[in-house]
Amino acid sequence: MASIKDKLSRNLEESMTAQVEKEARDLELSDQELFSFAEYDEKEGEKTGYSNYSYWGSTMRMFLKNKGAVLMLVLMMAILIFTVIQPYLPGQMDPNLVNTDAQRFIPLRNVPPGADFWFGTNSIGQDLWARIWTGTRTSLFIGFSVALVEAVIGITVGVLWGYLRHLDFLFTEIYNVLDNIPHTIILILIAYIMTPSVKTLIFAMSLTGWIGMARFIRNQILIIRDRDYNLASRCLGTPTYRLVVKNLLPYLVSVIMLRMALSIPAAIGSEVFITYIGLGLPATTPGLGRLIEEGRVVMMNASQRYQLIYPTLILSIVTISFYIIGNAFSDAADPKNHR
Amino acid sequence: MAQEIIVSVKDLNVKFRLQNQELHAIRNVSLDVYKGESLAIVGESGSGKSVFTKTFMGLLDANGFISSGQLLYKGQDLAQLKKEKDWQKIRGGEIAMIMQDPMTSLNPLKSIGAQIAEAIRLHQDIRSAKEVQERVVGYLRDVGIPEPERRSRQFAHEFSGGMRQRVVIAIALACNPKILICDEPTTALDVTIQAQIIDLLKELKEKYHLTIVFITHDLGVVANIADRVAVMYAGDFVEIGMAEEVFYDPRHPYTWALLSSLPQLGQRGEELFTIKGTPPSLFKKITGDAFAPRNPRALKIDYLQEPPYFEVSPTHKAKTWLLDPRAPKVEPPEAIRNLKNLEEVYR
Amino acid sequence: MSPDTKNGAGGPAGTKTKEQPREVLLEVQDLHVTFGKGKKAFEAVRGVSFQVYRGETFGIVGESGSGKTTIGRAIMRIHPTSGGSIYYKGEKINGKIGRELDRRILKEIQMIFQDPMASLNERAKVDYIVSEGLMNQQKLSEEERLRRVRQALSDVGLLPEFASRFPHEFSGGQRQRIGIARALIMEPECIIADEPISALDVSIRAQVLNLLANLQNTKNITYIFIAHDLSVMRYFTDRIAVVHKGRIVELGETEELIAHAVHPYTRALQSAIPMPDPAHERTKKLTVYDPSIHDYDVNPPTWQEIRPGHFVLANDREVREGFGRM
Repeated sequence: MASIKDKLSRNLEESMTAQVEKEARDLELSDQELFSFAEYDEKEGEKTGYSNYSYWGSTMRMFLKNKGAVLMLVLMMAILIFTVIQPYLPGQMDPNLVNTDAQRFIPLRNVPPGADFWFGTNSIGQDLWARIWTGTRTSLFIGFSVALVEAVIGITVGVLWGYLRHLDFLFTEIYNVLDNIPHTIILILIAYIMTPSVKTLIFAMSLTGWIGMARFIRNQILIIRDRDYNLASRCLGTPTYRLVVKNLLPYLVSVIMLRMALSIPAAIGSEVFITYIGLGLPATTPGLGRLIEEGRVVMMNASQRYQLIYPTLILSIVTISFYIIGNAFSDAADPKNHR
Repeated sequence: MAQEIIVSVKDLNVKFRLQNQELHAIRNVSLDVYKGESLAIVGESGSGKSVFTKTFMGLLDANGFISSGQLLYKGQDLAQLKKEKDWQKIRGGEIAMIMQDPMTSLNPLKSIGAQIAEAIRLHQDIRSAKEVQERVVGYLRDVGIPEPERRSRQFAHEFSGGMRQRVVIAIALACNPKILICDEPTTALDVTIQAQIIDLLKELKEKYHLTIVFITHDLGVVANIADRVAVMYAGDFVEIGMAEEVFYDPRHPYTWALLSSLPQLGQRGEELFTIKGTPPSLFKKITGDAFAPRNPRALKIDYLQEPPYFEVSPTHKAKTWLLDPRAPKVEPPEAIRNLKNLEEVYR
Repeated sequence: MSPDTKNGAGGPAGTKTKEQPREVLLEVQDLHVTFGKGKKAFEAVRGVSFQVYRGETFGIVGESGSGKTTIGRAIMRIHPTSGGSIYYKGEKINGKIGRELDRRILKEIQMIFQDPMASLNERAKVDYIVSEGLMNQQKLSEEERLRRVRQALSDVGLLPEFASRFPHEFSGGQRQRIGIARALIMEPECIIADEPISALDVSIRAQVLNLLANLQNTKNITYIFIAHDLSVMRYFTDRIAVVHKGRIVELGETEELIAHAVHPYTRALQSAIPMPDPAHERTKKLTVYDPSIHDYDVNPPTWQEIRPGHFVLANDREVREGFGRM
């Protein structure tokens, strides 16, 4: 923090001393001159020098210093981009097509990974490579959507809950009621009542996911709402919405980012779970959950274990990267670490 | 002065490594601390006064190190101590420290009696529980805590700020130290409490034969407690002298500035003296007198050459070219010429 | 209270004298502030009354927990009052107030906070921090806004180009001046300064005090100056109210109060002033205030004017002793 300031004052002093030194050399100062008063500029003292600090710039720099997280981010981006462009690449198969032997018309079941099927086929002969990428796309879509909805609703409710004191009682009661219904039951119930689809799952998960976020934001707001700088803004009559946007949320960026980063793998986990108990996505929309469930069935058969390993591997990479990226970003976004 | 030297600092340099740069926090400092005296080290924040005393305790931050010089205590050079274990022998038992914020040195989960007892068991050869408890109560009474028996069972949060600082002092005493370093112990306190704590420290100094090193940014506070005052600027002592000498006959322009900016000396309706600008960066090599850029009456030589110590009296020296016989005569500011008659202003 | 009160400082009953030589800008009458509810309730301010005249510096001095900060914050409407009234230019400003009045007070009464490290929004640029209040008051063109920010910054001795930087790039003294610029840009008539210098180094304190004094001279601002240190008060204020445990125990003109302090608490504050004079300091006897020395059970204290403009909460015996010392 101080370094920028120091750097500049240093330059200033350097130029100052350099100048006097030069003078001394030029004039070959005598004792009498040496002991005369130097010129003094009061304004100079106030200058601390210029710095081009920017919050997001420093956040970026800090994040880039964390090599592991950058690697994970690159990997994550690659996966993300690949899931999107994969269907348009040449030679890709339909994830739902049951591949059959061209001569004998029997499905090519449980074909081990090879030149034809890079990740092999599953127990009914669908191409696992295509299914895994489609599944990853679906799961990531669910994860991002849920995280986004959670963030929007959770932050809005959390801010109102934490900032408007007279609403605290009402919100706390609502929270107590909602939070006491097991989220899994709501998830199962919604998935059961509505037609299984990506939308249904996003809806079901968002329905309960925001509660935790709201509670979290509320607690954070309570901690900082009466700090001096907020009192100062209130004394100036700053309207609540601007106070929230300018004073409160900027302080919460790092913790919000961390929570969002973690809620993506959590949502994917829920998808896996709900599919596992048989209420998940339809068979024609593969998600990572369905793929893992399918793999689990054949898990005990060593020659078919690849059907579990590939989707699990992708799931692990996604989960761990979000965790590491989220943590690294939240550290980087904390200005205490900006030096 | 025929006093026994307890700590002798010789040509000490302390540096910090910060992102490929070196910060020269203590610049070639020499100082003797006499046994039984109370020495005040005064300077602005960033002057290096806290760093200086932390080297006594081996408490420098991980990126800080003694680059050269000696720290002699009882014939041992503390600057050579590397191991944490060696330091633990010095810390507490020989040199104890009181910080600005008492909460940082108190354990919130232990009763204060237990914390004092722990210090006693660690540093004194007392084993019987009864005797330890007696000592605990004794220390609490000595630091002026009412009802010591009852309060020894209480926790830090049950005490007010001033009382907490007293508890910290009691813990320091229980270590049975020879030297007590007080790092701005009263800065966070009300003036009324501040005065009481300073009175207490003076009392304890006599009772426990302590040597006190008192660090502060406020010259006004130390007039009461200090036998000697050392004024620190940019990692170096610019003036050292007996309290009377520094207060009544200051010689360095920085000491003048520190003294004359005290609101106690201000007259209603008149401007207070101020020091313009900020202290120099210690990342850079300082040429000449470090205070020159902020000194409106700096001499040209101040920018070129570092002044040596000029002796004013055997106990009083200052590092300024103004004391050179060739220098023009510069009078100290009006406000501080007559500090002796100050109390008349307040009756 | 005698009817010929010259300075007309209000007693606890809020008595006002008819002819006042000076204009009362702000008046606090029997102010109570309570925190918490029911059994946990804590009354931080217990019936405080005083008047502040236009253009003066009114000091409130007391130790931490005395309620001095709470009084300031009640006037700023940060803390709701639980009893009593606060009048600004004759209009009641505590409790529910109209929109127009609210707007006016937001502009005319400003506050400077104690800790410059905590009172600035770290995530906003100086530019925003300084003009925040201004933008709440009126729509301004970007040009006009920047012009006024630069003006306010240079008024407090900072360079106009600081506007584009973040608070953490500045030292404590500079940050405190940013806080002052933020108040100043509103062109306030009254500034409540809550221990504006106690978090600063001594060398910086003088700068801030000089700045505040200059601003008062050039802009005729009224200050309510809150501090725990009587030496700063002596230098900076015209009148002082000494607060102890939520009550004003003594009030008077600064010179008079310091020269003839009657209440033992005021005298304790006075004796605690650290003087840069070793000979005097070493021999001084510290007076510590011990509330048990009062014999209020048998002889309850009253709020009385003992000399013109000098009020004290004391019983007859204490007043007699006080006069004895004079």
